[in-house]
Amino acid sequence: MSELILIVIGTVLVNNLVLTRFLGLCPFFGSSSSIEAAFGMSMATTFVLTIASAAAWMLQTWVLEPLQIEYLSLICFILVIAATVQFTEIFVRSAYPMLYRMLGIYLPLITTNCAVLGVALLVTRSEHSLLAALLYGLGGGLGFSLVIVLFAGLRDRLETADVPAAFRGGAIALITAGFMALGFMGFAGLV
Amino acid sequence: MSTADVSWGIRAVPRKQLAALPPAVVAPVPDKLLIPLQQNVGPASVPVVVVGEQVSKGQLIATPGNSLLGSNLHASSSGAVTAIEARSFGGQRPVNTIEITTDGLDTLHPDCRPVDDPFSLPPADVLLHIAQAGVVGLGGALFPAAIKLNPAPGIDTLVINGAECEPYINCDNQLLQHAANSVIHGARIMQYALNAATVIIACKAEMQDAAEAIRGALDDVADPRLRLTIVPDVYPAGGERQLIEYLTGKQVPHDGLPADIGVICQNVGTAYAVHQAFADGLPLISRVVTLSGDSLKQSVNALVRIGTPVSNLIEVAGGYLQTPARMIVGGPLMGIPLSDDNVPVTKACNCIIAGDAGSLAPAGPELPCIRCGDCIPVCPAGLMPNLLLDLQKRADIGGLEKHGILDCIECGCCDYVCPSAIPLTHNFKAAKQSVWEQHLLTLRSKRAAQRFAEHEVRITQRQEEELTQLQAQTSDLNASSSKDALQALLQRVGKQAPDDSGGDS
Amino acid sequence: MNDSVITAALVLGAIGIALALVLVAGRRRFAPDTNTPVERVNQLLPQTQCGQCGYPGCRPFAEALVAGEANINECPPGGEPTRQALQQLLGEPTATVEPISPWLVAVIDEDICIGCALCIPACPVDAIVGANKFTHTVVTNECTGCELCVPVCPVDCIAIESGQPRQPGLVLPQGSGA
Repeated sequence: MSELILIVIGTVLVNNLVLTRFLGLCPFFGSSSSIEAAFGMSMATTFVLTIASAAAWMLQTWVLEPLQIEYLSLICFILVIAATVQFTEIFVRSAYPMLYRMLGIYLPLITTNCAVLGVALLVTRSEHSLLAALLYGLGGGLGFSLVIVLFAGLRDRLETADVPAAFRGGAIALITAGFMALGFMGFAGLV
Repeated sequence: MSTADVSWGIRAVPRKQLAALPPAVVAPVPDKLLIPLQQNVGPASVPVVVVGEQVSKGQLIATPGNSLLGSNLHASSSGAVTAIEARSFGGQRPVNTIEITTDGLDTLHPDCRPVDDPFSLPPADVLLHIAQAGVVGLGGALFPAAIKLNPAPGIDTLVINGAECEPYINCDNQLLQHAANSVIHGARIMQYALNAATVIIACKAEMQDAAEAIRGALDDVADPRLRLTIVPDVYPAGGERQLIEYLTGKQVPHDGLPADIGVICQNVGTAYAVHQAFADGLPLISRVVTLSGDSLKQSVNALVRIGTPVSNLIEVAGGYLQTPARMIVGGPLMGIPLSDDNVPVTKACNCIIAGDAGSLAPAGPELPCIRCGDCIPVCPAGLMPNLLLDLQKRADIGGLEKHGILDCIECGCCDYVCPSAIPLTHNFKAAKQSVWEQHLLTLRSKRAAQRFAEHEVRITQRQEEELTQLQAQTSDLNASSSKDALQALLQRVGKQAPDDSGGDS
Repeated sequence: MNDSVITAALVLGAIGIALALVLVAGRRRFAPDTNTPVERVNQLLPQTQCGQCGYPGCRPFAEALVAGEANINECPPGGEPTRQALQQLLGEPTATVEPISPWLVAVIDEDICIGCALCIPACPVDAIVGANKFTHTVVTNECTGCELCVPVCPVDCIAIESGQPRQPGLVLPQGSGA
């Protein structure tokens, strides 16, 4: 039980996917232009991360290892991730059409989000149980959500701030993300 | 109620003269009276006199015309109407004005007779008399008093607002110190018209002489329904909504009026005007004005005829020490700047400030917002000015409305505390205009969409009717022999000879 | 070796088919909602139904915008505020649109009007009142300034002027009451 809690805290704060492992930077910068988009993207990514993480573990443990075809793991994970993302897209398009429009190309791009594949590989390389794998994915998603929403809020403030001309737009955003990453280094050693 | 403090606002407001004030100096009647026709909320009044006509003091010279919301205007002294035209005063927009050249006789109009016992009249007659006297809210809003005193039934509290709070201004303080009995009389008449259960007279804790005078007047009347409540020395405790919440504990709904919670609030000056309308039979033709500022030899309160040019009043204050660097009508926080003293005193004018460069220095250059948050605790409406400024910069009308821009009372507290000297109130006035315009635009497009939908329905219906008719005619032709069918068709359209297509014309 | 390849192929195939079935089922269960975006976009448009965007009305323009066939800077009566609102909603930055006063109204010169009644059906919001052989007039509070009545008039008696912000639906004389 305590191990599971530690996994969640670890993935959300200590080994944050975006700010510590530097995975998933593309949607981090692409979907943080508004808080609504950030929130929507974080929900979608968390969903995909959790499913993909659990599915990857199940595939690896119950299909690939017994049949000794572990070399297919990468392709199988990509298949599962792509299908999950497509399913998410179908659902969002039906239930939240405005969010679908707002996220645009970044929704199907979750497929290529290195965080998702990264978590899938991390989970299968380590000796976790299914529940632990699920929580690993969920924790990763929550950490991603936390950071992208915070970042969207900061970027919202930056819009009306008096930023020097040379720094406006992407430059100040990257610098801000760098400061956030510095801040999150403070969690090192927490677990 | 105790003088428990409130959490918002500015304390230690400078430049208030609070100790015993001398009686108001009676300002002499000027040679020319300039009476603008716009001296109330609502459309400008319509003149009922013509150029060349002789008028006497208190004579009716303008009425609301067709409007439901308007007020009467009266001649402040006797003389001849010498002009009715648009004039521009103090650099403001031109406004239609009646000019009266006085004859020095100050003849009273015969219709101006005192009313002995207002309390024996039906309340409707009391209101009519108040309306005829042209009484409007003298706290600055200029809302026609007779309309305000005639809301839907259910008013239990009348608040008489003597909580004068802007720096420099003390015309209400002066009125209370020297005419408390009259103010109470006016309040009682208003209470009678409203059938209110309670009357609360409010004044500031530092206005001790005024409070004493009020207590004396209340003792004379010995009516337990009237009472005095002391209000903390905070700006802007005299703001209508803030005062009502302090006195009654109830908040005026943000999209409603005090009448919605059973309260009506009137200024002490308005109460005095009501008293004068009955006790002296005089319509609203004069008011107390504070003349103050470091460019004047002395600060005085003057009893001034409406329409007196400010330039005439400067002598009453002893004249200028130097050319004023700034002139303001109203107070330094909420007043309006004037470009010169060629401005007539209107019903709204409670104070004229002639400042020098030192005392009312303009704020420094505007710096960016540093998000210090000093503006948030001072806002009496509980808004967040730094957030509203941000929203205004990005033109987020929806966000502005959601965060309460329409509740801003434009008191200027946030301007006062801002370390970056950002003109917040000025920005918020513009923001409110944008929000109101957006409301109108949305209303307009909703309405147009509705009308378009109805238009489409109508067109479709007509097309269907024409189609059914055409089908009926065609089926007739097909069904029986041509001749019979032709007969039937002709019968239906009521023509003798085959001519024109069928259908309505 | 062969077994391994066959197993691999079979496993991949099985996974692929299983996932495909899930997706097909999902597609059936969650049909895409195209109406809500069109409604939301339509609400932002000024509803003048003028056709200046090239579409027969505001709702068809909204449909085209959602489908990506129209540009958000093609609505002159909406002007810059509408373009900004559309950009916020749809997230597509483009060039600014020519600003036009939102308070344009049509005015009929009653001295010239011959009462031909051709302009009455041209108005998409029925803001022109009149009858055959009677002088026509525009109900200013309802007019959206779409200019559709102007080309129809055979004597060119309709002008487009800048109006004051007006509350639609108000017919009786009103005070301006703050």
